[in-house]
Amino acid sequence: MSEDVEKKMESTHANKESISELRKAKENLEAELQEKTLRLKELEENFEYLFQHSLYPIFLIDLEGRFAEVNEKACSLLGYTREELLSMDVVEIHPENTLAKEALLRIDSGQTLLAGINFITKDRRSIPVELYVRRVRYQNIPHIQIMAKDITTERRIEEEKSKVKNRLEAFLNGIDEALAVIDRNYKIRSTNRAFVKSLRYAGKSVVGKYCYKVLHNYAKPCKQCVVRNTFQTGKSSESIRSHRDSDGTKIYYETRAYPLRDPDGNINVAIYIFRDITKKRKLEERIRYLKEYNESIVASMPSSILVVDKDLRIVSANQSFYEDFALEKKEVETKSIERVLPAKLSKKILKAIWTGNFLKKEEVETTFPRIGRKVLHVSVVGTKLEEDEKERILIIIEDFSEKKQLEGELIRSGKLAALGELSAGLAHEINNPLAIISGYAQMLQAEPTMDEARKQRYLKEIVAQTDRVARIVRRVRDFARPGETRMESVDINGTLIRTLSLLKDRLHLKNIRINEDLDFSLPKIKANKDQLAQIFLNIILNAVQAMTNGGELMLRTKLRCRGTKVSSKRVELTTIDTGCGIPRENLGKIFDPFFTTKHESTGLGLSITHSLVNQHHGTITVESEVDKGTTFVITFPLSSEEKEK
Amino acid sequence: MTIDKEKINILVAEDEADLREILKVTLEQEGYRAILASDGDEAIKKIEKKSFQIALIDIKMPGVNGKELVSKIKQINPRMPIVIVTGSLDFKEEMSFKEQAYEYIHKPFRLDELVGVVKGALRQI
Repeated sequence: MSEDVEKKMESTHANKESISELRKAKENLEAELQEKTLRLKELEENFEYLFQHSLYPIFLIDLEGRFAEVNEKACSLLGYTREELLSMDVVEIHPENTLAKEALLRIDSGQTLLAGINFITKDRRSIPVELYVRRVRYQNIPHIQIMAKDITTERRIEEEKSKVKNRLEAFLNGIDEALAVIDRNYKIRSTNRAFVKSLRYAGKSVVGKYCYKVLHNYAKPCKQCVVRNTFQTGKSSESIRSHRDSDGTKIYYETRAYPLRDPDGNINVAIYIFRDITKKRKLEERIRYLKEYNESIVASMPSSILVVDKDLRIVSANQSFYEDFALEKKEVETKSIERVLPAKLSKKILKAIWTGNFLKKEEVETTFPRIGRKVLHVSVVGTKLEEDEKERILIIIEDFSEKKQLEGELIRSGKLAALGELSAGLAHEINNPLAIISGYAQMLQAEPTMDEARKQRYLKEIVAQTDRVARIVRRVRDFARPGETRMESVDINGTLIRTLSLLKDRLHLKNIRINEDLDFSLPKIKANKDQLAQIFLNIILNAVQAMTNGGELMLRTKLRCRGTKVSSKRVELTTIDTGCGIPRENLGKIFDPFFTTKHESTGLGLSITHSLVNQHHGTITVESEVDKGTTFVITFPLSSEEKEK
Repeated sequence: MTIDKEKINILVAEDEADLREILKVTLEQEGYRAILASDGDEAIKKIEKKSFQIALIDIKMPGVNGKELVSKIKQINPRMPIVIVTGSLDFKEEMSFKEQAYEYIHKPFRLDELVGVVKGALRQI
């Protein structure tokens, strides 16, 4: 046959040429085929490479739902080997969602994204995945290609995000401060619950409405607006505002705005916060008021108050201190006590601070360079002041000079009252001898021929009665002598007897018998004689007034010893009357000035007695029973010379 | 009405002996009879025994005092004039005798004044 062909070829030259052309074409085709085959092989290799080394797991599934091919990522995602997977059905890694399987099978063309699917791994973990699904041909058979994306991380981020969002919302809704996000047009973008709750004017939803309308029912933005400030300056802004509520109550609120920048740095919205601070404001006002109140009390106290720190320097002083001691602030503050107060006073205060024996109304008499001699009552106490919790010492100084003077005056007026009471009796005492003198003198005058013996008797009596008057006057003068305050060693028996002699006539007239039980071996006491006499006079007068129908007055002096100490020894005077007594309800008041139940009494006697006994560091106590009588017990300490004996 | 001076008994209650003496001498010089008492109790005893036309009484005396004595006298003889002779200057006390006493004489006193008061009181009877 080839010979035939050759013959034909040889026979025709043209044929020969076409054969050569054909051969050439064939060669070209073969070369092209080879080229194409090579390219195909390259593509297959590339595909194989991409399939195997894809960043995503890829599954090829036949239309029966069996795995035809899987890549490395697919194996590592699910934890199976390739061989294991190729023997499995897709349901085994996605059991609960048969619908998904159907969906896979129903894909006609193109690529579909399936989300919300979970794959189950070999160790039974569930992995959220997103699937890109398309129909492909594999080995010339229709297959489904699934490219999976493990979205565990995305899902977690999503969950975290929503958690954060919920938490933030809960937080924003939980806080009392009303919060809103407001844009440049003053429109509210979002709010928290407190914001909605605090509104008076708004309807159901405030989002999208103008903040000025919602907040204040204004028709245009407020004149002073923190949101506008923030948009203009790009910085946070705050202010405190107030307005009257519909019922007239003043409401204070604090407003703040913070810029909220978008990722490009533009401020399109601001966070607006407002807080009703009326309560806080009122509390602050109350605190301020209380502080001022306290300060004004301290400032206006008539007593001088000094606050001293641990270094004994004066921290502050009140107005009274500066006024009473005629000192300037700069001479006092930060200065030490010794430099401000006279030595006698400052020594006493320093001793109290050092020893910790704080003082209570200690009487100190001292001379100040500017204000002269003063009698002061000084109290020293340690304290902690709230403000800084630092230890401070409070020194309270009361100027007692005037009171001391008044007390002196009271005693003097009491003395006058006692003198007045005495003078009523004195008039009787003096007028009797005067009547005798006058009577005899008139008789002598009327009867010039009177016999000598009678005349002499009358004249002698006149002289005697004159002496009697003079004696009475002298006694009164002794009593009324201006008070000397000299203290001396005094025998109380002597003073008591002298006082009794002053009252002898009166006691006799009132039918009062004196029963004396005096211990004449008593030690002396340190006392002022006049004042001691006044104490006795007042107590005896009181007894006399209590015994309107006569009676008995017992006077007893003795040395009282309680314990073995010398300091416990005291001289004691007890007076017991048989008078009307003092009702129980009046017992506590009898030493009060001007307390009296008697018409003729000034009510000063016992109060002065009490004060005089105190001045002698003595004690006075009273016991009484109505209609039985009253007992006074007065005690005095021994004079220091006596103690040393 | 004139009364025989010899028959006029005047009670003098006074605790000062010298004053009793002065009053007795003065009244007797005028022709009256003075009966003396040194305190209230003695005075009451004398009033109960004898009848008196006038009483001169000191207020402040030991024992029954002047006030009680005055009441007692008024009980026995409500019409008897009582002259109070006192050294006291107590105005309140003086006022308390206003109803009962005929006159109130303050010590020291003029003897002729006393005699005048007694004469006046006698005219009252």
